[in-house]
Amino acid sequence: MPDALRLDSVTKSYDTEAGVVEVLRGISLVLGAGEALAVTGPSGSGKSTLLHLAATLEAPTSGSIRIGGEAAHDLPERELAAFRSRRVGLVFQDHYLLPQYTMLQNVLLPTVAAGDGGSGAEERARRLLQTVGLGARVDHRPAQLSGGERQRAAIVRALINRPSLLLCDEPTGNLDVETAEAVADLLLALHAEGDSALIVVTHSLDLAARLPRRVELRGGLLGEASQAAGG
Amino acid sequence: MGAARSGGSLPSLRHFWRSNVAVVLTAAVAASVLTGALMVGDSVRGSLRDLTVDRLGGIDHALLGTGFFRERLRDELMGDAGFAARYSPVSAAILMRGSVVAPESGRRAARVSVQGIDDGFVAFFPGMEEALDLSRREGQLFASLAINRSLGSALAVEPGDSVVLYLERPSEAPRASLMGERDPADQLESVRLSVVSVLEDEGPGRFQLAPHQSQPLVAYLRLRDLQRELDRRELVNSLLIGERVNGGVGAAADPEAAAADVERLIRAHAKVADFGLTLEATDGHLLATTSQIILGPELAGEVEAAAAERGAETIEVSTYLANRSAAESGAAAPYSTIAALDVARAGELGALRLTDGRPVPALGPGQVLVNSFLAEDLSVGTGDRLTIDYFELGDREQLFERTAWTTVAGVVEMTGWGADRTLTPDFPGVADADNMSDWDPTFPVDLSRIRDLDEAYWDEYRATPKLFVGLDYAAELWSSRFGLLTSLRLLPPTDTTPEQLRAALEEELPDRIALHAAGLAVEPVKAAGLRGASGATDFGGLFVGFSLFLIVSAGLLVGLFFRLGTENRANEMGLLLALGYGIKRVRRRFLAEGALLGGVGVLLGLGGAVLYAGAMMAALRTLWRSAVGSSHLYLHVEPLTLAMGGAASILVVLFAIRGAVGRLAGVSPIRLLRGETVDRPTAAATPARRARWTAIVSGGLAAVLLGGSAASPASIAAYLFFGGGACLLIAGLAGFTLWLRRRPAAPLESWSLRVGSRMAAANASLNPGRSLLCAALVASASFVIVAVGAYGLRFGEETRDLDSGAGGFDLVAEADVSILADLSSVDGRYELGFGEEASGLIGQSQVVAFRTVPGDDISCLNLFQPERPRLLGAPPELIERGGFRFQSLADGAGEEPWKLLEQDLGPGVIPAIGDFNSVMWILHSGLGQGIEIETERGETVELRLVGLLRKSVFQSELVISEANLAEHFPSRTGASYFLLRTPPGEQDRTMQELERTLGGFGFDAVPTAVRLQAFQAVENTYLGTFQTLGGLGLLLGTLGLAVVLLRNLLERRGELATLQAIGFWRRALAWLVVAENGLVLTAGVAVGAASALVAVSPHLLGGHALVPWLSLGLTLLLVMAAGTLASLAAVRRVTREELLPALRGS
Repeated sequence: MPDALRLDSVTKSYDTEAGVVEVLRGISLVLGAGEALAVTGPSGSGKSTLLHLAATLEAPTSGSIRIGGEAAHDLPERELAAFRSRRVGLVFQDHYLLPQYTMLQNVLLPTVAAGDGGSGAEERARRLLQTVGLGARVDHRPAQLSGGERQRAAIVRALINRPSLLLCDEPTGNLDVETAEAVADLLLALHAEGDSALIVVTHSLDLAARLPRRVELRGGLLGEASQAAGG
Repeated sequence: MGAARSGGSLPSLRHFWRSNVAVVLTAAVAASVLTGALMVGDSVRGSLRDLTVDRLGGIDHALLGTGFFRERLRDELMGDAGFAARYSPVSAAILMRGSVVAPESGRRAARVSVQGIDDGFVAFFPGMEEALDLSRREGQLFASLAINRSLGSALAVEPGDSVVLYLERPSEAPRASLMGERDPADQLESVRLSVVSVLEDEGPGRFQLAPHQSQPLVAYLRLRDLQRELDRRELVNSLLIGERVNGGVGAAADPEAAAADVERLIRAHAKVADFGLTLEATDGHLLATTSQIILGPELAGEVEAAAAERGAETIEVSTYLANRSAAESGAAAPYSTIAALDVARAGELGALRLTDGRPVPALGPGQVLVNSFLAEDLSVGTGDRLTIDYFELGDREQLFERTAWTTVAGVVEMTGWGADRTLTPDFPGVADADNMSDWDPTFPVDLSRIRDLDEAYWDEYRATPKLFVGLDYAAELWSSRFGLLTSLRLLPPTDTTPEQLRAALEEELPDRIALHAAGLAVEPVKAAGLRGASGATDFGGLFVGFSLFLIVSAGLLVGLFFRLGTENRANEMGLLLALGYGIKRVRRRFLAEGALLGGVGVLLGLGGAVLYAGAMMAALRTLWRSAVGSSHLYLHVEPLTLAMGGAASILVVLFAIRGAVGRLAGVSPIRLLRGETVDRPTAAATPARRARWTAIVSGGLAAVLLGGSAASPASIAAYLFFGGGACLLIAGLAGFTLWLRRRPAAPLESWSLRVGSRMAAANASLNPGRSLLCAALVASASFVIVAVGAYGLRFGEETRDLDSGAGGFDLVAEADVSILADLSSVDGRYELGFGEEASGLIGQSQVVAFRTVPGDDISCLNLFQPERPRLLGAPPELIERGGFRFQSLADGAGEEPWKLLEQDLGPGVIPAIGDFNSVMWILHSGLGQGIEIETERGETVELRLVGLLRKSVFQSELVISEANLAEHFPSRTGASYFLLRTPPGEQDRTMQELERTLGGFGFDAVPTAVRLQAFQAVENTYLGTFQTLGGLGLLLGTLGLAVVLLRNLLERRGELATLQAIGFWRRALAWLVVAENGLVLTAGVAVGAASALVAVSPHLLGGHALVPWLSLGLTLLLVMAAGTLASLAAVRRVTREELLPALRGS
């Protein structure tokens, strides 16, 4: 089985008014199928950039990235979008649920993009929403839900297409401690139930500690996480 | 707090400069359009004032006569120090209408304003001395003529060329009377003249007394030359007077009072001759006669009253012509005069005596006295029967020979009044003939019937009456609408000589006789012109109406931009509230900022208003000239209008801003702190309920109005339909709101355009207020464009239909000189000089001839407010024939609406028919309402509108019955307006023949279709203007739509980034945005267009509509295309940027 994610000597730099800013400086990382990884590091260390590269939302400046053995970044835009919708699930610090849609419709959006919509997808969405305790809120709109509920729905949206790679960017960053705990429980439980590889970018040492593998990003370079890393 | 209060706004204004600039600019647009539209009104009024001053120069007042008065009156007035102190200059003139022909080219110009001017005229137009120099140049063959540029162009002549001027030769007696000049050949005077100068079409080159903005054709010749040609030496028909007080430019504070003052001074110098009267002391009495042969009742009444006050007795005399007097024996005498007077009183006075010595008896009807000459000639005596043939004047000035059967009541001695030739007025063509066989009278005579005996009588007694009847009997036989009496014999009291009586009456009568009784009037021409310059149409109001959509669009955009700006600052508002600021205070703070921005915008807009009004005036001079018929309309800026427009604009802007602030101030501080601008959980309920009620009420009202229209007359039904359509528009928009708020929860399926469209619909519902605003803008514009477009028709009417606007006539013609001969009869055409072939051709046409009373053009082609509408007298054959279509009719019209003109509506009320458009928009009157006019006798009568025609050829005048016209305007004889129905295919040839033969009469014919098109062009131009400005409003609406869209997209960058992150490719995102925008556009266009089609459906179903579907469809497509392009541009702008930063919350 190919690795869920493989990064070889990946760099990422941006042209800014102040000159070229190198955010990632030759990162290599391998994540096996079903494996879970926490990425910590101080603000501005490149955590989110790493996540966006892994999500194919951005292309590396150099180096190679393979997802499930495929060099997705080389795909044309439309195929890349389709690849992303099927193979990658994303959870952000903000839920980014679309206010005009119901929970069910929001959750189904990736299936629309992937062309996998239909009764099967709907059934799966309802089941997942039931699983995360939102079975009674499928027709509610985001404005009618609490912060924790919204984030749970966002996790379901990320998993709806059964991605091989689930990427979470500060998934509990906007939540209170109790809710953050509950969401983290849910995330890990769902990961355990499925076969997606999981990367969680977080400042939360508690959350990072609950994942089997942890790395720290500092100055654009990857190292083993220390206890104080996220500090 | 103080700092916050004092310095809070400025940094905010600077920080949010983008949205603030947008508010300022849209406020500027609103102010430009609103104030600019008002300035169009000022500009049209100002231009009309300029035109009035330009065409009249220094002339403020005019003494105008239908006949002639002494030229010396001018000098007498100028010699009066009191007059000269207030009024100067004064010029005597003969003002006429005529036609001019260039003999070389055959070119012809009718309706030329011809002025015979004295040397003083040029003082009204300083600097024009050279151009108006009418002295004869060396080697010049004919008298001089100066013409204006327009006339020069029409005739293609220049200085040095000669032209022929045709004028109406004045007639002493009314043309329609027996003594009036009736022969068409003698009716016209032609004068060959040399063109010596061509005046520019301004100042004296635009001179005309009647207020109209169109360029007249003007010709000047020397007064002396014109007097000579018309045989009216030292006589004029006009005095033109300048007023010193106003420097000849402004109007007097009270022009009526000034006119009364002028009249008083004129009366002080006028002589009885100026009133057409002659007083002659003769044979123990004073003889009062008039140059017009017949003394009008009012003139006669004043003379008799004045005489009676001085103890004088009046014997009224009416002398007429007996064509033949025949005894029962068969003996007959031709052409004798017959005098009517109180013969018994004459007998008592010893002025009449019977040959048998008996006293002169009072004569009853059918009784006649004959003089001894006739008694002997016919061998008749007392008790014998005598038939008298005489002419009776028909309604249409025809002469019918009638016979009166009389009995001889006595034979009069030929002494005293029995041999008094002054009993007979000087009949033209008769009085100065040496022999009877030399007569050239105004009536037909058979000179072969004149015997030697008649010549012998003529040699000795001239036109001394041979017959006498009573006045009552005479009235029965030959009285006409002009009157009966031909002279008054005033018998002074014993202590007064006839000379003394004459002196007393000459002193008193000019003060006593009403000017109109002598056909005179003092007109405050400049004041009337300036008054009329206020315009029949309020162009300010009109252009505010035309620009309304543009103003509303700009106002909505001001609100929108300000709202977007304040929404950006929702958290600031929330923070202020959280810090303890009161809601009112926060609201005031934002309102103050808005007012400041709006104020700056409005100030800028006042500058823009000048540009906008300037552009509108330029368009009126060029593109929209059909509506105003003048290229002399220029921008006039009135400070008061600027101030009013500015104030109104501020109100519009504040209203828009207040709405934006008020909406945000209703949101809870917590949500505002989060940057939210809507109380989402509760937001949906109230607006949805409001929208539901709006939809129900508007829809219900639309149903009521549309249902009610079925039971209403057509004129009201059209308004009901329009109201119904407008309600449907509101209901449709409310329905759209409900649709936006329905929020379907059905699961989404795999991507397809259909699913994409569903998603777009859901996206549009995200901010229903904004979507509705955009849809409302587009819908309103579409409504205007479709509704106006459906009315803006090409003229495609079949004029030969009886119920068309032309009434089935295909030619309309007007003549400068009234035509008395009957164009419908062979004899009439022969008299007019038509050849056999031409006469045959005209004979195949149906000709309806109208008498006219000159007056102001009341059609939309005249921008001045008409004061005296032109009148047409509809002849009985038109009333009988019917035709034309009516917009509305008074009760009791039945199947023959024209017969309403013959109704008796009581004393002083004359039924009249007018065109709906002219009556409604120019006279500002309506069916059943009255318009007061002054008759020729100085009486005020009411023209009661009993019928309103729809888009007819009668848009420039009101129509009354010929009988009423003749009764109230007896001097208006002959026809000068004609409608003709020519044989199929003969329209052009008929027109050419008429114009060729009747060229001297200034006969000018045009197809009725052309006349109707000219009227229609005005309406179409207004509609086009409305559409153009509506289109600009739509453009502004589309701009608003683009801005809202861009704003929506910028706000939703996170959403778009999310969709991208979960696998939507860019084109799918673009589709979502374009479809969302397209949905709003389509809803707006569909609701607007459908409502408009309902509103105009009566017009569409009326059968006369030629809707420009293609251009309408293209316009709406253009709107859709512009909206789509705007959305594509917005998508491009947003998706070109990296969306990912949005996911980081940047």
